[in-house]
Amino acid sequence: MRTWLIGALSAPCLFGCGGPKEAPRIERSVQIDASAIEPVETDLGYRVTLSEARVMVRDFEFTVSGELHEASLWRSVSEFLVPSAWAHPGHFENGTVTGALSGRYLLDWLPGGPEELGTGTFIVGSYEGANFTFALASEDDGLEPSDPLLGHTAIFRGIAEKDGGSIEFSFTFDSPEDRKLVGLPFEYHLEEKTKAAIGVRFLPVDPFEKDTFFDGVDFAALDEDGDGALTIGPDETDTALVSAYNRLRRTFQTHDHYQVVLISQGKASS
Amino acid sequence: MTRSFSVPRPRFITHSLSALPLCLLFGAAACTSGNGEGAVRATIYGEEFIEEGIPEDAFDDGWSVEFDRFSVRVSNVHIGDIPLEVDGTKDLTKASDGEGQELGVAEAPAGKLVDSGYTIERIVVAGRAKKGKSEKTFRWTFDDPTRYDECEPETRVEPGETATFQITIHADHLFSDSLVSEEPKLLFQPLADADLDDDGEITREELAEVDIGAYDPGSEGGVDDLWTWLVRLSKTVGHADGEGHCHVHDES
Repeated sequence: MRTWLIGALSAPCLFGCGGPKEAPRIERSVQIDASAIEPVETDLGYRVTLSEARVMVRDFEFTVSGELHEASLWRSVSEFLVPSAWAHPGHFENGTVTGALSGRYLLDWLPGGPEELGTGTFIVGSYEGANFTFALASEDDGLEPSDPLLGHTAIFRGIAEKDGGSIEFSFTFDSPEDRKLVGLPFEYHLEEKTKAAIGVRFLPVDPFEKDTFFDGVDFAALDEDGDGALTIGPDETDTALVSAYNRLRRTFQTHDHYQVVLISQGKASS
Repeated sequence: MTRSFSVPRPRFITHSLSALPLCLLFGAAACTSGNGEGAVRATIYGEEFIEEGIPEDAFDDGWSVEFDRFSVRVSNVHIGDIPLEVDGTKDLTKASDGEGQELGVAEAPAGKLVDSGYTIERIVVAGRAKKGKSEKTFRWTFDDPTRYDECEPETRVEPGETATFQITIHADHLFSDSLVSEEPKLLFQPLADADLDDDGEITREELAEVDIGAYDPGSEGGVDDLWTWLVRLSKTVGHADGEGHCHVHDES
C-alpha cells in the first residue's frame, strides 16, 4: 500500500500539470543497530545479559508530524489511509507517513550483529516517529525448520544473575498478525545531503523512564523447580507464568524499548 | 490532555463554493447547497446492544450483558457549524424503536454540513452479566470528558426538511480485549474475575486492583489495571450515524 503511495506521488501529472511541487525523495539503507544492547539491572535486582534478541516484523513506516505542505495530494491520501485517533479500537496512530520500507524482516540484534534490512524511501523532512507491524516467523522468512522462532513473533534469551545464582531464560512472544507498533522515536531531519543509514535499535532500558525490559520479572520465583532454567511462552498454563508472559508481552509491544537512529560510519548520530 | 476549540468557520459556505464547478458542468440539478432553510436535529442512540442487551453470541467467552442504566451526558453538540442547545443527559436503555432519543433541534441553511462534533461529559453504566448460573452486577461511572470532533458522516439539509445527526454509542467497546486491534474479541470473564470478594458486584475499587492480563493497551502502554482500562475503553464508545468515526480528544 505504501509502495502505491510513493508511486502516486511520482505520477507525472502531479508534478507536470501545474500540481504541487515535488518534495525531494531520497533512498537510504535501513539496518539493524545492536549498539544499545548491554547488561541491565532490573528493579528486582537481577543483572540480565541478553544472548539472543530476534523479532519478526513487516512494513516499516516513517512519519512526520503535522501537514506536509509540499505535496497536498500526499497529505490527503496519507491522512485517509492513516487516520489519527479515531474513536474506535484499532485506529490510534500518529503522524503522516512520508517514508517506507515494505516487506518482512527479521530484526536479529543478537547474535546476528550489523545487518542491512533493505533500502527505504523517504521524502526529505523532519521525522518524528516510525512504525512497524509485528509478524509471525515462518520458513518462508529463511528460518530453519528447527528454529524455535518459527510460528512466533520474537524470542529473547539470556541469563539473569542475582546473589551469586544465575538462571538461563528463554522468552517467546506471539503478537496478533496485524498488531502495529507505532511511535518509535525517530527524531531526525533528513535532507538530500544526508548520507547516514537508518538504524533500528532494541533498548533493554527505556531511555526516558529508565525501567528495563525485564522489570517485574522475578526469575528465581518463576523457576519453581529450581533447575536454573526458565522458559516463558504463549502456551503457559501456570498462573504465575501466564501473568509474567502477559506483563512481558505488554512491554514488548510498547514503543518504549525501540528506537530508530541515523548511523554515520557505524555510530549513531544525535 | 486538553484541547482548545477553534472558532467555527462556515464550512457549508466553503463547500457550496467548492461545488460551484459541478453546478456549471451539470446544471442546477447538481446543486443542492445554499437554497433555502431547513433544520437539523441531534439524537443519541445506543442501538440494540444497550436497549436490549449484548447477547451471548456477541461475546467470545459465553457471557451476555444487560444494562439497567446507560446514562450519557452530552454537551457542545454542533452539526457542521450549527450549535445546538441540547437536553444533555439521556438513559439509552429506554426503548426508542430504533430512532434514538432527541437531544435538540436548530434551524440550518440548506446544504451539506460536515465535521460535526460533540462532547461526552459523563457515562453511568449499570447492569448485569450472565453466563450459565453465574451472574455479576456492575455500576460504573466514567466522568472524564471526551470530545468527539470532525465526525466522518455528512449531514445534508434539504429546504423545508429536518436532517438528523445521530450520536451513536457502541456499548460493546467496553468489553473489547484490545485498544488497537481492528477486530478485537469481546470478553467479560476478566471483569468477572475481578470480583475479588466474590459478592457478585464488580466494583471500581476491585477493578483498580487487578492487572489487565492479556488485554492489549497498544504501543504507548501506560494501562496496567482494569479500571484504567475501562476508562480508556469508555472513550471509544462515541460514533456518528451508526458506524461513522470521529476524532477523539481526551479532555480529562
